[in-house]
Amino acid sequence: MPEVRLKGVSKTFSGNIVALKGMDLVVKDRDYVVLLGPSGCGKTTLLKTIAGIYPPTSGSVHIGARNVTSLPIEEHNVGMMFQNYALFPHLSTEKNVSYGPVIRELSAEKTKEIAMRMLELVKFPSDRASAFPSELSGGMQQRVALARALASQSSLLLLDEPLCALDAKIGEELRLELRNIVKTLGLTAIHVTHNQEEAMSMADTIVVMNKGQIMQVGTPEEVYFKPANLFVAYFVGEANFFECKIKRRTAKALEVNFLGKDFRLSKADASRIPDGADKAIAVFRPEKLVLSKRQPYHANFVKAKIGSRRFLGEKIRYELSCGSRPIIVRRLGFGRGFKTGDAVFVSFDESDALLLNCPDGPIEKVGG
Amino acid sequence: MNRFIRAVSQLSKKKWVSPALYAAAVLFFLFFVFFPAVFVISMGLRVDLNPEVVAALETSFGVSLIATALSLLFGVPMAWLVFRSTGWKKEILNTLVDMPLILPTAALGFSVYLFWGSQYGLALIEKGFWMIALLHTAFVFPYVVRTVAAAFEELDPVYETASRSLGANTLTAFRTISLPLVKSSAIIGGMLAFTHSLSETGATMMVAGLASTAPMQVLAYKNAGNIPAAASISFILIVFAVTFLFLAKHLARKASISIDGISPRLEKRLVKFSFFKNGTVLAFFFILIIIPAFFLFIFLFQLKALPQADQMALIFSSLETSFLIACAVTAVNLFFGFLLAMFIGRNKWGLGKLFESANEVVLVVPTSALGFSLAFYWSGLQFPELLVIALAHLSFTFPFVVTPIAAAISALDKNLEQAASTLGATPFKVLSSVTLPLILPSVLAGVVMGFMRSISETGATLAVAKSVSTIPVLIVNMVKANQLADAAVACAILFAISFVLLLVMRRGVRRARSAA
Ligand SMILES: Nc1ncnc2c1ncn2[C@@H]1O[C@H](COP(=O)(O)OP(=O)(O)OP(=O)(O)O)[C@@H](O)[C@H]1O
Ligand SMILES: [Mg+2]
Repeated sequence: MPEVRLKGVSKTFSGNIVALKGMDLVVKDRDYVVLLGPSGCGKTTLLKTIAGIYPPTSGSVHIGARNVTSLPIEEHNVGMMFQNYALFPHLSTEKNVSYGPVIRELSAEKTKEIAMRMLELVKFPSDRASAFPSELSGGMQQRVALARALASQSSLLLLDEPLCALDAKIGEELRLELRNIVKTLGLTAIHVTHNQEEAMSMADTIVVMNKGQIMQVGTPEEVYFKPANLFVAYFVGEANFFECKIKRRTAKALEVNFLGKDFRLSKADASRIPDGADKAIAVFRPEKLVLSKRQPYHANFVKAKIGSRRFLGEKIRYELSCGSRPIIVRRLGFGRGFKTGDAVFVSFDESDALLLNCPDGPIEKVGG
Repeated sequence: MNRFIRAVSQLSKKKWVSPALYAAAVLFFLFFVFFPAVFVISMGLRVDLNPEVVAALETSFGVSLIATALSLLFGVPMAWLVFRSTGWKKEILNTLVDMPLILPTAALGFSVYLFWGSQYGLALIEKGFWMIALLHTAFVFPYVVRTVAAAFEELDPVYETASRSLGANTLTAFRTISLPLVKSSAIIGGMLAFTHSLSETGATMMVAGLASTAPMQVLAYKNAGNIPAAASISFILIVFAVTFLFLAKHLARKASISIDGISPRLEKRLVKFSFFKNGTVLAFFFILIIIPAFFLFIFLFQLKALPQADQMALIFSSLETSFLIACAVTAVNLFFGFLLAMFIGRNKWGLGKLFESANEVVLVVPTSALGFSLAFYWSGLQFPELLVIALAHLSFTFPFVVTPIAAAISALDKNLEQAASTLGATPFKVLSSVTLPLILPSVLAGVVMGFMRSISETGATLAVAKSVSTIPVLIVNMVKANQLADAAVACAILFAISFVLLLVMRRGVRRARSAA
């Protein structure tokens, strides 16, 4: 049962590059976990530390009941799919996939059987099994790399940006397939990506990372609607950030001022701002804002003008002008919608407002 | 000067200029390098296989096979050791591996003789077949290690990591992944080793005793006036060398190493003996390569007196000849070699591959056969002896200059040059401001190799020279006349000069590399 546990794992490379800072993480058995974070935040390093390729500078790594921290790579027993695949260029597709079984000295028939089964599972055309990696398209190489990792028969699958070398369309198709295979075989998967849509659509659990640290662990919904901090809110999906002054804070309600207007919020989530703070950031997801021609019956609205609209298929994305910062709103695209230049009311439901702790610098910096 | 450069820059815009330059380079290569080198083939073959010829060929091929096999057997693990070591250990191993390359072969031959054969050393082995084999192993070993270590350095370590994470232990990962991926380099290294061994003449003469190799026999027949015999050995040598070249290139592309076979479980147990394996490789390296190669210096320190003044004068005049030839030849080769390298690297007129192969043919032709052939090629014109020697050096050093430059040019990103052209740079400006700075390290490497080769070569020189002697030829003659002390001093001077030159040029290469 490969539950993966990291206890205080740190990794420092030569030249004092700190790639991981005291990470604690538990990956449950049969969970599909996606590590999400910007480039250089240490995702690959974390994955390679689990695989035993990098020994951690401190802390320990446990796979199932075993403490694998100081075991050599070959005894970690993981199925790893490398960034850019690392298919052996001198071996045919079939030999690549059967490499693991050959190393484990399974019989020739058994080896062949596993290789063929895995290639079939990843929908690799069987008549191309003798082709060399250089003769395959990116999508096919991806399938071979997956088949090779699966053929290792490990129940822990580590995937480093498995879909990033593919064009967007094929990548999206393969997301579902990949998840299905993992679920069908009952594996535990740790999948690395910097693509938040990919993370949203595939994960049971998302781990958001930044600068070698874990920012939040949660389901896609939690991470999207209840981001733990400004970084997560900024990095995952699109959001409106309004700087607000806190005028009064009582047990019942919070009185704030943003977009030049006073609001009294009693149902907003203010748990993430410390007591006594006089500033905060109000975060709204674009689809949680409502547009109307007529003034709403409640007080939670501001007046704005439609600056531009963009048709996204299912939805329309509006950019509204109101004060210095544009407001982004996404609404379903049926009906007539609004035209550029229309004067509208932007309103929100109190429970959709999320208040986050205000950083010292400008908020754009947080995403950087 | 400025006006001159501007004029050249303007001239380079004219349409006919670059085809004319390429044509000049191609013609130069064909008539001064390639045809002279293989002219003997056109002399018509009446193979004269008397027992003496057969014996010489047997010796040559036997020696080359042993030297190549030993070099591959120990050279590949040695390359791995160099590649895997880090920090100061790597520095030391790298320098030690390169050392025998800096030592001119004549000096190396003398040193090997002193160590194995003379009473100053072990006096263990008589001059003859086995001493030739030891000598050849010593000078071809670095070729194999260099080529294979370079391939290891270029290998993406992710393949080995992937193999390990699929459960392979270090030895299995090496056998199934790293080794097959450097296989073509090992084959090419082996081929270079083999053809170099087949070609070596001067140093071999010092240690041959009663035995005789094919290149030695070419010289012997030529001096005795037995032209048909010399021609037929030259012919056979050239044909074999070229055959090996193409065979090796074919094998490098084709042959594969299977992933099954030896049991990973057995290999896992063998991993524990890696200390033993490394020890064996290092012992081989020191006992058969490093100590014999540098024994010369131990001998040198035991010397009581310097050579007589007349011998010293001889040494210095030979040095002068050698450096004069090397400088002149390198300058000419740099100009035409650079053009031909552009021609090959850019595959102009679709002829790049053809000329690349022709260039490699010259590279592997044994130099005494080349010299013999070249003497006939130019014999119609009554050239002075020094010029003929220079023409011979021109021919056999040319490929050393071209090969690294051509490789660098074909690896160059074409977009950079195109970007410069779209910004309005003239072809000359593009060449001098974009192309040249990027490939400068390879240009310098080619110059260094060509120059060193010219300084230390004997076979072709002996095949065309009558009275003029270059420094390695002088050393060979001194050893043959048993003037060991004189020879040692000459070797030391030659080594010191080569060493300093190499350091200077290396620094130049490094600076060029960091600038690029
Ligand atoms: N082998 C290494 N030696 C030195 N530094 C390294 C090494 N590998 C990674 N780093 C550094 O550690 C940090 C994290 O790198 P890592 O490759 O884990 O990032 P990542 O999140 O996978 O990024 P990407 O999305 O670009 O792949 C970076 O600053 C990187 O430069
Ligand atoms: Mg990465």
